[in-house]
Amino acid sequence: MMNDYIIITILSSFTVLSVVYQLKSKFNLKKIWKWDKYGIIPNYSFFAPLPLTNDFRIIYRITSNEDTKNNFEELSAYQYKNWYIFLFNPFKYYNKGLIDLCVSLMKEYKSLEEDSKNFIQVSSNYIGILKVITDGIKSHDINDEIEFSIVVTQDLFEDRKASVVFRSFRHKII
Amino acid sequence: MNNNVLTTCYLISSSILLLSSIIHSLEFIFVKKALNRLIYFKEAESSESQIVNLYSSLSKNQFHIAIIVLSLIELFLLVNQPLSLLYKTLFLCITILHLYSYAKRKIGRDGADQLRLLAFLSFSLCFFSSNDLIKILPLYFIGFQLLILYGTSGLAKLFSSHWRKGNVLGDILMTNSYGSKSFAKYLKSNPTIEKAFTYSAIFSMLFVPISFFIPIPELFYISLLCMFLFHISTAVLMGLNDFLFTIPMAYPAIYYLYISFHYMF
Repeated sequence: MMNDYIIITILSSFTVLSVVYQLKSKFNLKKIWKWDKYGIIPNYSFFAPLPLTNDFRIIYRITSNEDTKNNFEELSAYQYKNWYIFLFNPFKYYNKGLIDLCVSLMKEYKSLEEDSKNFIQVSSNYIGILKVITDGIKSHDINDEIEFSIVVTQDLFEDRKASVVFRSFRHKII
Repeated sequence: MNNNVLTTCYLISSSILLLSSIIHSLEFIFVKKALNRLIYFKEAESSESQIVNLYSSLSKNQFHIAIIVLSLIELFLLVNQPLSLLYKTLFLCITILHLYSYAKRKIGRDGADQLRLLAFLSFSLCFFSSNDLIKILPLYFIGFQLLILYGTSGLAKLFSSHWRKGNVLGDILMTNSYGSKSFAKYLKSNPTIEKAFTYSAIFSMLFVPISFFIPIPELFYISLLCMFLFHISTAVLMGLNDFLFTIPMAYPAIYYLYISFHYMF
Protein backbone atom coordinates (compact mmCIF):
# COMPACT_ATOMS: atom_id res chain seq x y z
CA MET A 1 0.00 0.00 0.00
CA MET A 2 2.83 2.39 0.94
CA ASN A 3 4.54 1.51 -2.34
CA ASP A 4 1.43 2.53 -4.25
CA TYR A 5 1.39 5.98 -2.66
CA ILE A 6 5.09 6.52 -3.36
CA ILE A 7 4.72 5.45 -6.99
CA ILE A 8 1.61 7.59 -7.50
CA THR A 9 3.49 10.56 -5.99
CA ILE A 10 6.49 10.03 -8.26
CA LEU A 11 4.42 9.66 -11.42
CA SER A 12 2.15 12.60 -10.57
CA SER A 13 5.10 14.84 -9.74
CA PHE A 14 6.81 13.92 -12.98
CA THR A 15 3.63 14.61 -14.93
CA VAL A 16 3.37 18.07 -13.36
CA LEU A 17 7.06 18.70 -14.10
CA SER A 18 6.50 17.63 -17.71
CA VAL A 19 3.70 20.17 -18.08
CA VAL A 20 5.70 22.94 -16.40
CA TYR A 21 8.74 22.22 -18.56
CA GLN A 22 6.71 22.63 -21.74
CA LEU A 23 5.93 26.22 -20.75
CA LYS A 24 9.53 27.06 -21.60
CA SER A 25 10.00 30.17 -19.51
CA LYS A 26 13.64 30.88 -18.68
CA PHE A 27 12.98 30.44 -14.98
CA ASN A 28 11.59 26.93 -15.43
CA LEU A 29 14.47 25.75 -17.59
CA LYS A 30 17.18 26.95 -15.24
CA LYS A 31 15.60 25.38 -12.16
CA ILE A 32 14.71 22.08 -13.75
CA TRP A 33 17.81 21.67 -15.88
CA LYS A 34 20.05 21.70 -12.82
CA TRP A 35 19.09 18.21 -11.73
CA ASP A 36 17.81 16.73 -15.01
CA LYS A 37 21.34 15.84 -16.10
CA TYR A 38 20.23 13.13 -18.50
CA GLY A 39 17.40 15.04 -20.14
CA ILE A 40 14.64 12.69 -19.00
CA ILE A 41 12.01 15.41 -18.74
CA PRO A 42 10.61 15.46 -22.24
CA ASN A 43 10.57 18.29 -24.72
CA TYR A 44 7.62 17.89 -27.06
CA SER A 45 7.77 21.02 -29.24
CA PHE A 46 8.66 19.27 -32.48
CA PHE A 47 9.77 21.60 -35.27
CA ALA A 48 8.34 24.53 -33.34
CA PRO A 49 8.36 27.45 -32.76
CA LEU A 50 11.24 27.68 -35.24
CA PRO A 51 11.01 24.89 -37.84
CA LEU A 52 14.13 23.51 -39.49
CA THR A 53 14.13 24.82 -43.04
CA ASN A 54 17.86 24.66 -43.78
CA ASP A 55 20.53 22.00 -44.01
CA PHE A 56 23.76 22.19 -42.03
CA ARG A 57 27.02 21.23 -43.68
CA ILE A 58 30.38 20.97 -41.99
CA ILE A 59 33.30 21.71 -44.28
CA TYR A 60 36.95 21.55 -43.31
CA ARG A 61 40.38 21.98 -44.80
CA ILE A 62 43.89 21.07 -43.88
CA THR A 63 46.53 23.76 -44.13
CA SER A 64 50.17 22.77 -44.43
CA ASN A 65 51.60 26.28 -43.98
CA GLU A 66 50.49 29.88 -44.38
CA ASP A 67 50.68 29.75 -48.16
CA THR A 68 49.36 26.29 -48.86
CA LYS A 69 45.66 25.94 -48.37
CA ASN A 70 43.84 22.94 -49.66
CA ASN A 71 40.28 23.06 -50.82
CA PHE A 72 37.52 22.67 -48.34
CA GLU A 73 36.13 19.17 -48.04
CA GLU A 74 32.75 18.30 -46.67
CA LEU A 75 31.96 15.97 -43.81
CA SER A 76 29.54 13.50 -45.31
CA ALA A 77 26.18 14.18 -43.70
CA TYR A 78 23.49 13.22 -46.12
CA GLN A 79 22.61 10.14 -48.09
CA TYR A 80 20.05 9.07 -50.59
CA LYS A 81 16.71 8.23 -48.97
CA ASN A 82 15.76 4.64 -49.69
CA TRP A 83 12.16 3.54 -50.09
CA TYR A 84 12.24 1.64 -46.78
CA ILE A 85 13.11 4.61 -44.54
CA PHE A 86 9.59 4.56 -43.10
CA LEU A 87 10.47 1.14 -41.63
CA PHE A 88 14.20 1.29 -41.06
CA ASN A 89 16.30 4.45 -41.04
CA PRO A 90 19.50 4.26 -38.95
CA PHE A 91 20.97 7.31 -40.69
CA LYS A 92 18.50 9.64 -39.00
CA TYR A 93 20.46 9.44 -35.72
CA TYR A 94 23.60 10.73 -37.39
CA ASN A 95 21.71 13.45 -39.22
CA LYS A 96 19.90 14.60 -36.09
CA GLY A 97 23.15 14.48 -34.15
CA LEU A 98 24.82 16.72 -36.70
CA ILE A 99 21.98 19.20 -36.56
CA ASP A 100 22.02 19.25 -32.74
CA LEU A 101 25.79 19.76 -32.71
CA CYS A 102 25.69 22.66 -35.15
CA VAL A 103 22.71 24.35 -33.51
CA SER A 104 24.22 24.02 -30.01
CA LEU A 105 27.57 25.36 -31.17
CA MET A 106 25.99 28.38 -32.85
CA LYS A 107 23.88 29.10 -29.75
CA GLU A 108 26.95 28.95 -27.53
CA TYR A 109 28.92 31.20 -29.86
CA LYS A 110 26.12 33.73 -30.02
CA SER A 111 25.85 33.86 -26.23
CA LEU A 112 29.55 34.72 -25.80
CA GLU A 113 30.60 38.35 -25.40
CA GLU A 114 32.50 39.87 -28.33
CA ASP A 115 35.83 39.84 -26.51
CA SER A 116 35.27 36.25 -25.32
CA LYS A 117 34.44 34.60 -28.62
CA ASN A 118 37.69 32.63 -28.62
CA PHE A 119 36.41 30.69 -25.60
CA ILE A 120 34.27 28.74 -28.05
CA GLN A 121 37.37 26.59 -28.58
CA VAL A 122 36.74 24.85 -25.24
CA SER A 123 33.12 24.10 -26.05
CA SER A 124 32.39 20.38 -26.10
CA ASN A 125 30.41 20.89 -29.32
CA TYR A 126 33.42 22.59 -30.95
CA ILE A 127 35.80 19.90 -29.76
CA GLY A 128 33.31 17.23 -30.82
CA ILE A 129 33.20 18.49 -34.39
CA LEU A 130 37.01 18.66 -34.48
CA LYS A 131 37.21 15.12 -33.15
CA VAL A 132 34.79 13.77 -35.73
CA ILE A 133 36.68 15.47 -38.57
CA THR A 134 40.15 14.45 -37.41
CA ASP A 135 39.07 10.87 -36.77
CA GLY A 136 38.36 10.63 -40.47
CA ILE A 137 41.75 11.99 -41.59
CA LYS A 138 43.87 9.05 -42.68
CA SER A 139 47.29 10.68 -42.82
CA HIS A 140 48.75 14.12 -42.23
CA ASP A 141 51.97 15.98 -41.74
CA ILE A 142 53.08 16.93 -38.21
CA ASN A 143 52.77 20.64 -39.03
CA ASP A 144 49.34 20.39 -40.62
CA GLU A 145 46.52 22.43 -39.16
CA ILE A 146 42.81 22.10 -39.57
CA GLU A 147 39.92 24.53 -39.62
CA PHE A 148 36.24 24.01 -40.21
CA SER A 149 33.17 26.01 -41.04
CA ILE A 150 29.46 25.43 -40.71
CA VAL A 151 27.50 26.26 -43.81
CA VAL A 152 23.74 26.55 -43.96
CA THR A 153 22.19 25.59 -47.26
CA GLN A 154 18.81 25.26 -48.87
CA ASP A 155 19.79 22.45 -51.15
CA LEU A 156 16.63 21.34 -52.76
CA PHE A 157 15.63 24.78 -53.98
CA GLU A 158 16.51 25.56 -57.61
CA ASP A 159 18.40 28.70 -56.63
CA ARG A 160 20.25 27.06 -53.76
CA LYS A 161 21.53 29.48 -51.20
CA ALA A 162 24.48 28.85 -48.94
CA SER A 163 25.86 30.95 -46.15
CA VAL A 164 28.70 30.42 -43.71
CA VAL A 165 27.35 30.73 -40.18
CA PHE A 166 30.43 29.72 -38.23
CA ARG A 167 34.19 29.65 -38.79
CA SER A 168 36.56 27.87 -36.48
CA PHE A 169 40.08 28.75 -35.44
CA ARG A 170 43.03 26.81 -36.84
CA HIS A 171 44.27 23.87 -34.82
CA LYS A 172 47.09 21.37 -34.98
CA ILE A 173 45.85 17.90 -35.86
CA ILE A 174 46.44 15.48 -32.98
CA MET B 1 -14.32 -1.34 -15.09
CA ASN B 2 -13.77 -4.39 -17.22
CA ASN B 3 -10.51 -6.09 -16.22
CA ASN B 4 -10.18 -7.54 -19.72
CA VAL B 5 -9.98 -4.05 -21.20
CA LEU B 6 -7.23 -3.13 -18.75
CA THR B 7 -5.23 -6.28 -19.47
CA THR B 8 -5.65 -5.93 -23.23
CA CYS B 9 -4.52 -2.28 -23.21
CA TYR B 10 -1.56 -3.17 -21.03
CA LEU B 11 -0.51 -6.09 -23.23
CA ILE B 12 -0.82 -4.11 -26.47
CA SER B 13 1.13 -1.15 -25.06
CA SER B 14 3.86 -3.41 -23.74
CA SER B 15 4.12 -5.29 -27.05
CA ILE B 16 4.44 -2.14 -29.14
CA LEU B 17 6.98 -0.77 -26.67
CA LEU B 18 9.12 -3.90 -26.96
CA LEU B 19 8.82 -3.88 -30.77
CA SER B 20 9.88 -0.23 -30.80
CA SER B 21 12.85 -1.16 -28.62
CA ILE B 22 13.87 -3.90 -31.07
CA ILE B 23 13.71 -1.65 -34.15
CA HIS B 24 15.52 1.16 -32.32
CA SER B 25 18.38 -1.12 -31.27
CA LEU B 26 18.54 -2.78 -34.68
CA GLU B 27 18.97 0.63 -36.28
CA PHE B 28 21.88 1.37 -33.95
CA ILE B 29 23.62 -1.82 -34.98
CA PHE B 30 23.52 -0.57 -38.56
CA VAL B 31 24.79 2.90 -37.69
CA LYS B 32 28.28 2.94 -39.17
CA LYS B 33 31.27 3.17 -36.82
CA ALA B 34 32.30 6.55 -38.19
CA LEU B 35 28.81 7.88 -37.65
CA ASN B 36 28.71 6.43 -34.17
CA ARG B 37 31.58 8.70 -33.17
CA LEU B 38 29.35 11.68 -33.87
CA ILE B 39 26.37 10.39 -31.90
CA TYR B 40 28.40 9.41 -28.85
CA PHE B 41 31.08 12.08 -29.12
CA LYS B 42 30.56 13.23 -25.55
CA GLU B 43 31.51 9.81 -24.18
CA ALA B 44 34.49 11.19 -22.25
CA GLU B 45 32.22 13.69 -20.49
CA SER B 46 29.96 10.87 -19.28
CA SER B 47 32.73 9.37 -17.17
CA GLU B 48 32.17 12.22 -14.69
CA SER B 49 28.91 10.61 -13.64
CA GLN B 50 30.72 7.42 -12.61
CA ILE B 51 28.42 5.12 -14.54
CA VAL B 52 30.25 1.91 -15.33
CA ASN B 53 31.32 2.22 -18.94
CA LEU B 54 29.56 -0.74 -20.46
CA TYR B 55 30.85 0.33 -23.82
CA SER B 56 34.36 -0.59 -22.73
CA SER B 57 33.35 -4.14 -21.81
CA LEU B 58 30.81 -4.64 -24.60
CA SER B 59 31.06 -3.41 -28.14
CA LYS B 60 28.30 -1.11 -29.32
CA ASN B 61 26.81 -3.96 -31.35
CA GLN B 62 26.90 -6.41 -28.45
CA PHE B 63 25.12 -3.84 -26.31
CA HIS B 64 22.28 -3.38 -28.76
CA ILE B 65 22.08 -7.08 -29.59
CA ALA B 66 21.56 -7.68 -25.87
CA ILE B 67 18.59 -5.28 -25.92
CA ILE B 68 17.13 -7.02 -28.98
CA VAL B 69 17.48 -10.52 -27.53
CA LEU B 70 16.01 -9.50 -24.17
CA SER B 71 13.12 -7.70 -25.90
CA LEU B 72 12.36 -10.79 -28.01
CA ILE B 73 12.33 -12.98 -24.89
CA GLU B 74 10.05 -10.45 -23.22
CA LEU B 75 7.61 -10.56 -26.14
CA PHE B 76 7.45 -14.33 -25.74
CA LEU B 77 6.94 -14.03 -21.97
CA LEU B 78 4.30 -11.34 -22.47
CA VAL B 79 2.15 -13.87 -24.29
CA ASN B 80 2.88 -16.86 -22.05
CA GLN B 81 3.83 -15.54 -18.61
CA PRO B 82 2.90 -11.87 -18.38
CA LEU B 83 4.06 -10.17 -15.19
CA SER B 84 5.91 -13.24 -13.95
CA LEU B 85 9.05 -12.65 -11.89
CA LEU B 86 11.22 -13.50 -14.89
CA TYR B 87 9.29 -11.07 -17.09
CA LYS B 88 9.69 -8.24 -14.58
CA THR B 89 13.39 -8.95 -14.07
CA LEU B 90 14.19 -8.95 -17.78
CA PHE B 91 12.04 -5.86 -18.33
CA LEU B 92 14.01 -4.04 -15.64
CA CYS B 93 17.25 -5.08 -17.39
CA ILE B 94 16.00 -3.69 -20.70
CA THR B 95 14.99 -0.46 -18.95
CA ILE B 96 18.45 -0.05 -17.44
CA LEU B 97 20.11 -0.68 -20.81
CA HIS B 98 17.86 1.87 -22.53
CA LEU B 99 18.46 4.42 -19.79
CA TYR B 100 22.21 3.91 -20.08
CA SER B 101 22.14 4.22 -23.88
CA TYR B 102 19.94 7.33 -23.65
CA ALA B 103 22.19 8.98 -21.07
CA LYS B 104 25.30 8.28 -23.15
CA ARG B 105 23.78 9.64 -26.35
CA LYS B 106 23.99 13.38 -25.75
CA ILE B 107 22.90 14.39 -29.21
CA GLY B 108 20.55 13.03 -31.84
CA ARG B 109 17.74 12.30 -29.38
CA ASP B 110 14.15 13.19 -30.07
CA GLY B 111 10.68 13.07 -28.53
CA ALA B 112 10.12 9.43 -29.53
CA ASP B 113 13.28 8.42 -27.62
CA GLN B 114 12.03 10.34 -24.61
CA LEU B 115 8.56 8.78 -24.69
CA ARG B 116 10.03 5.30 -25.11
CA LEU B 117 12.32 5.81 -22.14
CA LEU B 118 9.50 7.20 -20.00
CA ALA B 119 7.37 4.20 -20.89
CA PHE B 120 10.12 1.78 -19.87
CA LEU B 121 10.72 3.66 -16.63
CA SER B 122 7.05 3.90 -15.69
CA PHE B 123 6.26 0.28 -16.53
CA SER B 124 9.28 -0.81 -14.49
CA LEU B 125 8.48 1.44 -11.54
CA CYS B 126 4.92 0.17 -11.41
CA PHE B 127 6.10 -3.44 -11.03
CA PHE B 128 6.44 -2.49 -7.35
CA SER B 129 2.75 -1.59 -7.12
CA SER B 130 0.06 -3.91 -5.91
CA ASN B 131 -2.58 -5.80 -7.86
CA ASP B 132 -4.18 -3.98 -10.78
CA LEU B 133 -2.22 -0.79 -10.15
CA ILE B 134 0.73 -2.51 -11.84
CA LYS B 135 -1.20 -2.10 -15.08
CA ILE B 136 -3.34 0.98 -14.36
CA LEU B 137 -0.64 3.43 -13.24
CA PRO B 138 1.72 3.15 -16.22
CA LEU B 139 -1.22 3.35 -18.64
CA TYR B 140 -2.46 6.52 -16.96
CA PHE B 141 1.05 8.01 -16.92
CA ILE B 142 1.77 7.26 -20.59
CA GLY B 143 -1.72 8.41 -21.55
CA PHE B 144 -1.09 11.76 -19.83
CA GLN B 145 2.31 12.05 -21.50
CA LEU B 146 0.64 11.59 -24.89
CA LEU B 147 -1.88 14.32 -24.10
CA ILE B 148 1.00 16.63 -23.11
CA LEU B 149 2.90 15.64 -26.26
CA TYR B 150 0.11 16.44 -28.71
CA GLY B 151 -1.04 19.50 -26.76
CA THR B 152 2.44 21.00 -26.56
CA SER B 153 3.30 20.21 -30.15
CA GLY B 154 0.04 21.72 -31.40
CA LEU B 155 0.23 24.84 -29.23
CA ALA B 156 3.89 25.47 -30.05
CA LYS B 157 2.97 25.48 -33.73
CA LEU B 158 -0.20 27.52 -33.19
CA PHE B 159 1.76 30.26 -31.38
CA SER B 160 4.57 30.22 -33.93
CA SER B 161 4.36 32.97 -36.53
CA HIS B 162 6.29 30.73 -38.95
CA TRP B 163 3.69 27.98 -38.76
CA ARG B 164 0.74 30.40 -38.82
CA LYS B 165 1.90 31.74 -42.18
CA GLY B 166 1.00 28.32 -43.57
CA ASN B 167 3.98 28.01 -45.90
CA VAL B 168 6.46 26.22 -43.65
CA LEU B 169 5.74 22.61 -44.61
CA GLY B 170 7.20 22.95 -48.09
CA ASP B 171 10.34 24.59 -46.68
CA ILE B 172 10.86 21.74 -44.18
CA LEU B 173 10.39 19.14 -46.89
CA MET B 174 12.88 21.00 -49.09
CA THR B 175 15.72 20.08 -46.73
CA ASN B 176 18.05 17.14 -47.26
CA SER B 177 17.59 16.20 -43.61
CA TYR B 178 13.84 15.79 -43.61
CA GLY B 179 13.00 16.37 -47.22
CA SER B 180 11.01 14.92 -50.01
CA LYS B 181 11.81 17.01 -53.03
CA SER B 182 8.89 15.94 -55.21
CA PHE B 183 6.27 16.48 -52.53
CA ALA B 184 7.87 19.77 -51.47
CA LYS B 185 7.77 21.04 -55.06
CA TYR B 186 4.13 20.01 -55.29
CA LEU B 187 3.32 21.97 -52.12
CA LYS B 188 5.28 25.01 -53.27
CA SER B 189 3.39 25.08 -56.55
CA ASN B 190 0.05 24.70 -54.71
CA PRO B 191 0.18 27.19 -51.82
CA THR B 192 -3.48 26.61 -50.89
CA ILE B 193 -2.86 22.89 -50.43
CA GLU B 194 0.31 23.65 -48.50
CA LYS B 195 -1.67 25.88 -46.15
CA ALA B 196 -4.35 23.20 -45.77
CA PHE B 197 -1.77 20.58 -44.83
CA THR B 198 0.00 22.92 -42.43
CA TYR B 199 -3.14 23.97 -40.60
CA SER B 200 -4.53 20.43 -40.55
CA ALA B 201 -1.32 19.24 -38.85
CA ILE B 202 -1.78 21.88 -36.13
CA PHE B 203 -5.49 21.16 -35.81
CA SER B 204 -4.99 17.37 -35.64
CA MET B 205 -2.48 17.69 -32.82
CA LEU B 206 -4.74 19.96 -30.79
CA PHE B 207 -7.81 17.88 -31.59
CA VAL B 208 -6.49 14.97 -29.49
CA PRO B 209 -6.43 16.78 -26.10
CA ILE B 210 -9.65 18.65 -26.97
CA SER B 211 -11.60 15.54 -28.00
CA PHE B 212 -10.29 13.76 -24.90
CA PHE B 213 -12.64 15.88 -22.78
CA ILE B 214 -15.65 15.42 -25.06
CA PRO B 215 -17.81 12.40 -24.13
CA ILE B 216 -18.20 11.32 -27.75
CA PRO B 217 -15.81 8.37 -28.18
CA GLU B 218 -16.01 8.43 -31.98
CA LEU B 219 -14.54 11.93 -32.07
CA PHE B 220 -11.65 10.81 -29.90
CA TYR B 221 -10.98 7.74 -32.03
CA ILE B 222 -11.01 9.87 -35.19
CA SER B 223 -8.48 12.26 -33.61
CA LEU B 224 -6.14 9.35 -32.84
CA LEU B 225 -6.60 7.96 -36.34
CA CYS B 226 -5.72 11.36 -37.83
CA MET B 227 -2.54 11.49 -35.78
CA PHE B 228 -1.65 7.92 -36.73
CA LEU B 229 -1.96 8.89 -40.39
CA PHE B 230 0.18 11.95 -39.65
CA HIS B 231 2.90 9.74 -38.17
CA ILE B 232 2.76 7.46 -41.23
CA SER B 233 3.24 10.48 -43.48
CA THR B 234 6.22 11.80 -41.49
CA ALA B 235 7.78 8.34 -41.56
CA VAL B 236 7.37 8.04 -45.34
CA LEU B 237 8.26 11.62 -46.31
CA MET B 238 10.80 12.56 -43.63
CA GLY B 239 12.20 9.23 -42.47
CA LEU B 240 10.97 9.80 -38.90
CA ASN B 241 9.95 6.17 -38.46
CA ASP B 242 10.68 6.23 -34.72
CA PHE B 243 7.49 8.18 -34.08
CA LEU B 244 5.47 5.67 -36.06
CA PHE B 245 6.73 2.77 -33.92
CA THR B 246 6.78 4.48 -30.53
CA ILE B 247 3.82 6.83 -30.21
CA PRO B 248 1.12 4.21 -31.03
CA MET B 249 2.43 2.41 -27.95
CA ALA B 250 0.62 5.10 -25.99
CA TYR B 251 -2.70 4.77 -27.85
CA PRO B 252 -4.04 1.86 -25.74
CA ALA B 253 -2.89 3.82 -22.69
CA ILE B 254 -4.72 7.00 -23.69
CA TYR B 255 -7.77 4.94 -24.65
CA TYR B 256 -7.84 3.42 -21.16
CA LEU B 257 -7.32 6.88 -19.64
CA TYR B 258 -10.21 8.19 -21.75
CA ILE B 259 -12.69 5.51 -20.71
CA SER B 260 -11.56 5.81 -17.08
CA PHE B 261 -12.07 9.58 -17.19
CA HIS B 262 -15.54 9.41 -18.72
CA TYR B 263 -16.55 6.38 -16.67
CA MET B 264 -15.70 8.36 -13.53
CA PHE B 265 -17.94 11.26 -14.61
